[in-house]
Amino acid sequence: MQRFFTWLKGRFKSSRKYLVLKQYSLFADLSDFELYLLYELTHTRCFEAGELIYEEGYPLEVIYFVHSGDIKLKGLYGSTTDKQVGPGEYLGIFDMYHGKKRSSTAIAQSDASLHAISRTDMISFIESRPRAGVKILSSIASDFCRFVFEVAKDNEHKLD
Amino acid sequence: MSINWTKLIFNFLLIIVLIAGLIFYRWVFSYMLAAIVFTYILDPTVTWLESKRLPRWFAVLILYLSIIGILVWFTSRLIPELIAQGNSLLTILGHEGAMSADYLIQIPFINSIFEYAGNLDAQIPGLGAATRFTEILDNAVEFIARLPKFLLDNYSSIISAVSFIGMVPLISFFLLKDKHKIRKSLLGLSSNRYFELAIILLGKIDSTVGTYLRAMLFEVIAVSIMASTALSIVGVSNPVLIGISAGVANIIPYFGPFFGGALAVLTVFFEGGAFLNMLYAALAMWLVQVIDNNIVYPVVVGTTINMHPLLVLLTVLAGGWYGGIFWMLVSVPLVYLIYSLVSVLYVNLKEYRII
Repeated sequence: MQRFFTWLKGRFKSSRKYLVLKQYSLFADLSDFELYLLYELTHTRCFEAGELIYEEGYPLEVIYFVHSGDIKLKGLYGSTTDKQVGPGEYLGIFDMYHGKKRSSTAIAQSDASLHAISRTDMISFIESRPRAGVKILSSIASDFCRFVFEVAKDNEHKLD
Repeated sequence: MSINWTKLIFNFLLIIVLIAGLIFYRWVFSYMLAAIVFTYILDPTVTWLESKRLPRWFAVLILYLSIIGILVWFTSRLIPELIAQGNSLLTILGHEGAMSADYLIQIPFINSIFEYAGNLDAQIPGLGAATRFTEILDNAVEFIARLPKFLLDNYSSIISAVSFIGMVPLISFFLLKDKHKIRKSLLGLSSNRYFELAIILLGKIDSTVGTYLRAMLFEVIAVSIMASTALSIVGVSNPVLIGISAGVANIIPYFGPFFGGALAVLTVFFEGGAFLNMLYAALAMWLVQVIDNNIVYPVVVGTTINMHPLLVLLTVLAGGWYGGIFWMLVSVPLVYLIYSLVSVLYVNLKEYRII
């Protein structure tokens, strides 16, 4: 009987693979259950070093989260310098709210593993679970502020 | 340029395996198709239950038990009545005595026309209106006489479909339970280059097929309830059966609503009802169509299928010629789905600079 209940409990308990999403600042505050739901919508993609992930001007349908490896971003918002993105960072969130086209070109610098979530699934998740949505959008706002300050600081240095 | 023989041989073998798989599984394609339709209809409820912290398999189980409960209730309450109505309708339409011009002439409404034709013959010698009228009746009777035979012929296929109906929920159970895994596996097959495109196409299929099927199901239920109520108010016999038939037929654009109306009017006609009763039946069905076209369809189905009316008409006609009623039912959504996919594919292939 004890074994049956353990088995039944195991059936209700899913494997905790979804915790891998905790490494991303966007999802750090989500509960286990919210992470589980989000993980169901996530795809894992592997890129070889030098492989093109997406090109500037492509339609934006997928948001990538870097699980491992390094990604080089070229021409980010008209910038002439390349930007490097590493584990825990993401690609495409700002573009999602800006014209729905890729504003830069992303190339894997080393062998990389990325988590991909469809823009449609992400928006639908945010809308259907407002509490989780607020947490995600707060993180996006916070990251956006940091990005704006970084750009402002860069421009200041250039002017000096 | 050197040829990668290993890759070439692997791809060749893969194609052979795929073709062999298609041949081996060809008998279950119809099962899969029906299960996919069933899955699309149930999926939002399963997803909702999952969002309430129920494991997906448990959510599907609860939904199945609820459906079985509703079916048991429906069977115990409505099926005996429906069978009785079906038998009565078949008797009215298929009785040998009823299927003769002589019997029809006894119907008051027909009799008045026949007498009028007889009077015309008396006034205009050589006109032969009564004889012509009897000939028309004979032809109509011959046509209508084929209807019950058609229904009876199809009953055997309906019985053989019971096994089909039994298998579909089972397949659908796995499709619903493992929806995310299946989706991930399908998208996992695409290369990185086509990954985003594959997501866009899958999303388009999901939204077009899912929305259309759920909207259609709602419309069938709404029209069935409205038609049954309207027909019972105007006193047509077998209102539930005619209402459900009209609801299902309503899926076929243009021809479906006509079928429902004709069935209601014919029932009154063969029961010997007065012309006024036929008019009431027709008006009731027309009213149902007005509500459906102006309220139910725009709200529920809306712009899920955005095709020009002429194209819809031609598609239904082509479907009918190609494969009868079944193809009349599926031709419009199928053509629309293919059209949407091709247009989405073309636009995105251009935007992703693949073509």
